[in-house]
Amino acid sequence: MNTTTDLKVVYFPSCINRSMGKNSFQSADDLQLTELTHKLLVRAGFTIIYPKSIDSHCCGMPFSSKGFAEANHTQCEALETALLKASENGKYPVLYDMSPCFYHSKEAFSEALKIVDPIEFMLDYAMPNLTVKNKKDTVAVFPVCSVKKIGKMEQLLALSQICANNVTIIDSNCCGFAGDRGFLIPELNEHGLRDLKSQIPANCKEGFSTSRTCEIGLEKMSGIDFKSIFYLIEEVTR
Amino acid sequence: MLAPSYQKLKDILSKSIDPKRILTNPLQTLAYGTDASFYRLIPKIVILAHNETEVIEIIKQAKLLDIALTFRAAGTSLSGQAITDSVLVVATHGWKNFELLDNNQKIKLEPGIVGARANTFLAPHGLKIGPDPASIGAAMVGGIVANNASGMCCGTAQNSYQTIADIRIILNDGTILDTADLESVASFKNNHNGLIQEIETLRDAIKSDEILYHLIKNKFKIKNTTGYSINAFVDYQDPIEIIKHLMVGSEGTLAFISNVTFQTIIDEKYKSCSLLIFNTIQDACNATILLKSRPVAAVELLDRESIRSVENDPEAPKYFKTLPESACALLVECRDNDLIVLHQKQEQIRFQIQSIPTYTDYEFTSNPKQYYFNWKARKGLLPTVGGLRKNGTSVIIEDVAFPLSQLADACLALKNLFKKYEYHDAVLFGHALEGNLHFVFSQDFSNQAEIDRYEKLMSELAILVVDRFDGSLKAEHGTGRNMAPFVEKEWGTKAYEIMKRIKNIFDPHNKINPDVLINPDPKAHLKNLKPMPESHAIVDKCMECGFCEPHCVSEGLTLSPRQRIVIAREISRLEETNENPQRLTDIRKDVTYQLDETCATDGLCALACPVYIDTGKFVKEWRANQINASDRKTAAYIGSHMAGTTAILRIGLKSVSFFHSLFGTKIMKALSNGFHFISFGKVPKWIPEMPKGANKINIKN
Repeated sequence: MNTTTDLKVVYFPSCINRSMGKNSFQSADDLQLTELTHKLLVRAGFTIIYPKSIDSHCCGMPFSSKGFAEANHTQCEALETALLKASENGKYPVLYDMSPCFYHSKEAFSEALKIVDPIEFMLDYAMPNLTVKNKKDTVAVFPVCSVKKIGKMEQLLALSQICANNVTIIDSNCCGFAGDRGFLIPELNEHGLRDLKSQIPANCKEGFSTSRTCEIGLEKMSGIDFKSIFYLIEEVTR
Repeated sequence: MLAPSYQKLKDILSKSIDPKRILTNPLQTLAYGTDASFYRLIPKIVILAHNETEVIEIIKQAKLLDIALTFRAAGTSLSGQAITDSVLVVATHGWKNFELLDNNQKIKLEPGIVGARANTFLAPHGLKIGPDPASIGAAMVGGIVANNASGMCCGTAQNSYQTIADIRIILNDGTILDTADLESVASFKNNHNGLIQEIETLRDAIKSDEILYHLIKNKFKIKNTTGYSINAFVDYQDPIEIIKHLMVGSEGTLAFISNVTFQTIIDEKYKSCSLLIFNTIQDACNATILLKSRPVAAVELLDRESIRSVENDPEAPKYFKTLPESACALLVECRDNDLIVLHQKQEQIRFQIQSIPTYTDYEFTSNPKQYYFNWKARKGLLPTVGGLRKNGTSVIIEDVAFPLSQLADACLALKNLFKKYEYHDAVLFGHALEGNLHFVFSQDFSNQAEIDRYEKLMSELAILVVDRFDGSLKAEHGTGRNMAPFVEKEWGTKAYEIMKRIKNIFDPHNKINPDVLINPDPKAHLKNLKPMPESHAIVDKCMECGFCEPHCVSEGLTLSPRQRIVIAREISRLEETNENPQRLTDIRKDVTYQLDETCATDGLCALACPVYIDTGKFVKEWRANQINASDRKTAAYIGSHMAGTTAILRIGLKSVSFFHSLFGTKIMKALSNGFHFISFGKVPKWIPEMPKGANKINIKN
């Protein structure tokens, strides 16, 4: 896919991943996701472009979910402008590190930008330049709603199977964490993931997904370490 | 206020069933009381029963108080068989157990299992269940059996009636009969000798009446769900077998179905299909007759209007737009586990119908894109009518069957009938191989003139189907309330008397789903019609089919997307009519938590919706309406100060994890209720899984 020596990517770290750090399973010397993504992209030979004033950007979804249509619109437009600039009007792909944010922008942006969801980016852009050196044995993988909505379930499975011998795809509706709803209405998350534990094989200690907030609820309801699939890819290509 | 006897029932049952699952408030009784039909009754009590013990207790206590019960699973049936103004017992959550038996030749299923889910249990073994209703993604086993549901491929050979191996039922006195358990059967024969004798008497009476015997045999050669499955008396001798098969298609009027064991069916690996266009309906029907003897898996008929509904699809062939008005399509499907045999089947089909000219050449395809388009043409019909209908109208799906030899004439007669009563949006399609036709059209029930028009249509439809063509008035969807006034018309007095006796044997006091299937009121099909008020542009096209429910995270906790829309519609109706301010106040009291706060707005409901409604989008708009100006200012402020917000969050989360390491989980949980930051002034509850704060991004490469 990428044969050019000048591999450039615009990386847009979501506001969630910019503010929420590691989970309780991770140790002091583990990297937080934004740092890990940076490291992984460099390993895959990419030059990373960060959008200007990155800390002020968000896809708008937290506003949209709560019914703040105007604030959402303002955020969307500002982000699109910043990404157009950073990607030189769509010359370089833009990596999103969370599926829901990608989906939200995809719905709102014009065609000029080439934004790429975490699964597609890893499968089509990064993996061809990486070598899997130590495949994992057993992992659980959770397809978040946006993955189902953009029809990337099979790609998620394919990506997971490159990195692990036994992949359990969690069968579930929305996990019910729904952004920050899991903090406000924990019973929705508990109800949504009531069958989660029974789906995870006994020898499976790690789960992966593509949305930080969903991972909080998945960790809570499964009792195992749930984090971004980028961690899995980084570990097996180390 | 509940009537005294209902209050008493609620009080007694609350001792053994979690009171949280005994619902009497106006919001929940309406939400759970709604099914996919165009009828509406609101239950006084809804009980979410989780197991057999609870159901037995409900049956026994209701009997003592002389209170009527209606049992229901998914509520996807269309004829009004799953609604009540008394007590609704919902058997969905808690009824999910299954068991593969006899080397996968059988599968035992509880009533709350979605049909498609049962098929996922069987798929690894190359098997499936027989019944294949279009609603299989939402319909549950209890309803599939109770309605003898069928669909595109199962015909009359693989429906519940033909593939049922065993059943476990709870009768009106709380007794269990499990046909798979020899002891249960023996004790049942002992304790219910009178019932067994009555079944035997009926059997012998039918078998000794040659005219009746042949009438029954003939009428079940094609799909028929009008009245009870009285073919059980013709097909079986053993009274237990008769009872087992009578339960199929009994629409919850005889007993509660606690589990069912099906014979499993081979699910062929290789599939191909072709869309054949004929010059006329007659040609298409004649081709269908010829195909009846050939190894086809499905033959679906689509009239010209149906083809029109997909002609603008990018995948559609250009000539679709220029087809003559008389044209008619057949979607022919082949299946086999052996690719070579599959190709042989295709050739046999081609040879069989070579005498009948087609409008263009045709090829069978297994290419996913083309295969999918062909079926999309067939499956897109309901949403086409549903999505284009005028707001405030209901979608009606008529469901008749004719002897195959009469199909062409019947099609034309039906088309003329719809023209006569000016149902111009009607599309005609169906499972041609079984002589089963569906007409989908929209119907306004909001004024008497429109109701009168519908009444005339139905009366004339009954004459056309029964007198002229000797067909079935309900081929697949069950009698319910919609066809109950016509059962005698279709079957004749003698057979109808037998059906009334069946009801009397199992339910002498008429307390199990009364007024369904057997109903003395000649106008029952015109009563309790569901209002369809306009509420919001995003949801106005909702048909309340329930296809969304299995895909919703809050279903079972609070409301499903369908139920949210039902509540929104009721609020709009009450606001509009002002007929019951108290009811409006009561519903509004619960609506924030039930409809708004517990919706995850994930949009998965839209993937399953035939008319593509994203109820999450609607809920976001609902939230927007609830927001006051100061909240908006806060959001705008947070938005314009995003950098600051994420910084607060980063520092906030860091301080939380600092405190967490200091105090430990237990104390933190206690502290958390006063400990907050994001969520626009709302307070996220602290949980041990709360992440640590992130470090600021260093953007130097």
